[in-house]
Amino acid sequence: MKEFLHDIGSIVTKQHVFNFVSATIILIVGVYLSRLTERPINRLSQLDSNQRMLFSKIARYGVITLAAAAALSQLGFDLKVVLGAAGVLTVAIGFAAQTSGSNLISGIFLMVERPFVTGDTVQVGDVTGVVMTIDLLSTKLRTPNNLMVRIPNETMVKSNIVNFTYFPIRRIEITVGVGYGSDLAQVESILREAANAHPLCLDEPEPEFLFQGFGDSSINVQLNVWTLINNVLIVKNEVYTDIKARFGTAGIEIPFPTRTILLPEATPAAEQIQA
Amino acid sequence: MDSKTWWGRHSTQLERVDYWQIGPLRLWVHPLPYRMCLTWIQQGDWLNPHVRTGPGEKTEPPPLASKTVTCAYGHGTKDDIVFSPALPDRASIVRLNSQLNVLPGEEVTLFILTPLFLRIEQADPSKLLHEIPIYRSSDTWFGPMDSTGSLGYASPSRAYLELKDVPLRPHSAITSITIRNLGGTPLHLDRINVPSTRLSLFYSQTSGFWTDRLALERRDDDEMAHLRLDKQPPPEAGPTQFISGPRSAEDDGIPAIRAFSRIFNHAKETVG
Repeated sequence: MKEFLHDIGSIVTKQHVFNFVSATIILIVGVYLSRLTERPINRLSQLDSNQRMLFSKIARYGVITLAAAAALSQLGFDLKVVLGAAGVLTVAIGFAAQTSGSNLISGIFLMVERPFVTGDTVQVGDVTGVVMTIDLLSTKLRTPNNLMVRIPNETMVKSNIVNFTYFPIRRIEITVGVGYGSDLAQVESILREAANAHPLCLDEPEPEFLFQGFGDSSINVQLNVWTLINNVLIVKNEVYTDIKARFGTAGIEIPFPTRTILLPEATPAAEQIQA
Repeated sequence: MDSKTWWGRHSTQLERVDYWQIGPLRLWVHPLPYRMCLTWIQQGDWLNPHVRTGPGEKTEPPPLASKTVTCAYGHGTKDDIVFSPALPDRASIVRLNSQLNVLPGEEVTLFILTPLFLRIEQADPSKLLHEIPIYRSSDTWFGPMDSTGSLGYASPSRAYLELKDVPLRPHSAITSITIRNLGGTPLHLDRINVPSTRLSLFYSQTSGFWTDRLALERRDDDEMAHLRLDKQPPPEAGPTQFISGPRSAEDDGIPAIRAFSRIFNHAKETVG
C-alpha cells in the first residue's frame, strides 16, 4: 500500500493538483456565470417567452462550453485535438440525428419569425388548435376537443399555417339559401338588420351583402359581418338564429333541396303512375 | 326626484324588488341577505326619454333575454345603493350622415350625444357593484385592421351643427367638438372618434350632462387632426357641476379624425 501511494505521489505532482483544483474552480464559476446570464435575458420585455427561453439557453450553454474549454486547457489538454475530436463527433451525431437537427433549426426559425405565439389558434394541415408551447423540437397544439397534438417544427416550417388570431378582428361569412319566390331586396334588408341588431357585430367594417348565385333549389346569398376574434362563435350562432327567426316572421322560405321529375305521358312509368 | 336626476342615493329593502327605467335601460334591483341581484335589459330606442325611478308600482318580471349579476356582500345586508353616471369605457365613433368638408382657414363646432353608463355602488362603504351601459351601442373598429386599430362603440348619435337641434336626454352627455382647418386644402370628415375614456363629466341643471370640450386642429395637409382637451365644458353648457374625472388620463394614441374611409375600402378589396 505504501508503495502504491509512493508511486501515485511520484506521478501526481503539486502542479497536477493545482491544475485540477483550478479547472474545477473554472467549471464551478462557469456554471454560476451561465445561470447569471439567464437573468438579464429573462427581463427583456421585447422578447416573448419562447424567445427568452431560446436565447437564455444559447447564452447558458455558450458560457458552460467556454468554461469547459478553459478547464480542459488548464488540465493540459490540447484544445486543437479536443476540438478536432468534437468536430468528428458532431459530424457523426449530425448524420445520426438529422431529423432532430432539422427540427431544432426549424424551431429557432419559428421563434425568430414568430408566425404565431403561445395562445394563438392556428391550423396546420388538417389540425386546428391553440398553441400550447413552442419548443425547440416541436410545437404542441390543443385541439377543440382537448387533444394534444405534437407537430415537429420541421413540419410547421414546411406547412401552410393559418393563424386565426393574428389580427384582432375577423370576418364571418354567413351563407343562406332563400326560395326563388323571395324578394331579394327584402332579404338583404333583413340580413343587414340582423347584423346591425347584434351589438358584437362591428359597425365598421360594415356588414356586406353578396349575391352568390342560383342554386339547385335556392338563391344563395351571403352576409359578411366582422367581429372581434373572441366573439366569432357567439356572433355566428346568434346571427344565424336571428336570421332564421326574422325570415320566419317575414315569411321568407329557406328551401330544402327538391327535385321535380317530369315524365312524358307515353312512357310506361307515366302510365303506371296514372293507373 | 326630478325625472332627470335618476342618479344619487337610493334606499332599498331586503327581499323587495325595485324597478328602474332610465331611457332604454330597464333595471330590477333585488337585495337579498349577503347579496344583491341586479337584472337588466336594454331595449328600444336609445333616445327614449322615459325615466322611472325606485320602488313603487308593481312591475312585470324581467324578460328572459335579461342579464343578471349577483354581487356578494361579505358582511350582512347593505340598505342603500348609489347610482352614478359615467362615460363609456371605450371611445365612441360617430359616423357623420354625409361627408363634412371644412374649408381652409374655417372652423366648425359639432355637438355629439354619448349614451352614458350606469354605475351601481354600495353606499357605505362605497364599493362598485356593477357598471351597465344604459344603451348598448354596437362595437366598431377604428383604424387599420391590424393591431394598431382599436375597438370602440359605434355611437348611435349623429353630429349636430346647432345645439338647439340636440335632443336633450337625461341619460346622455353632450360633447362639443370644434374642428379648425389650418391646412391649405379642405378637410373631409366622415367619422369622428370621441375619446370618452379621457373626458370628464359635468352636469348642468338646464341642459343635462356635458363632457370636456374637444378641439381638433388640422395643422398640415395630412389626413389626421390633432386633438386637444379643454378640461371644461363649453360656455353653452352654462353653470355646471363636476361629476367625475376621466377613466384614463393616458393618451391612447388614437388619431381623432380619420378622413375618408380609405383603410376599410382598401381592406375590402384585399379580403373580399
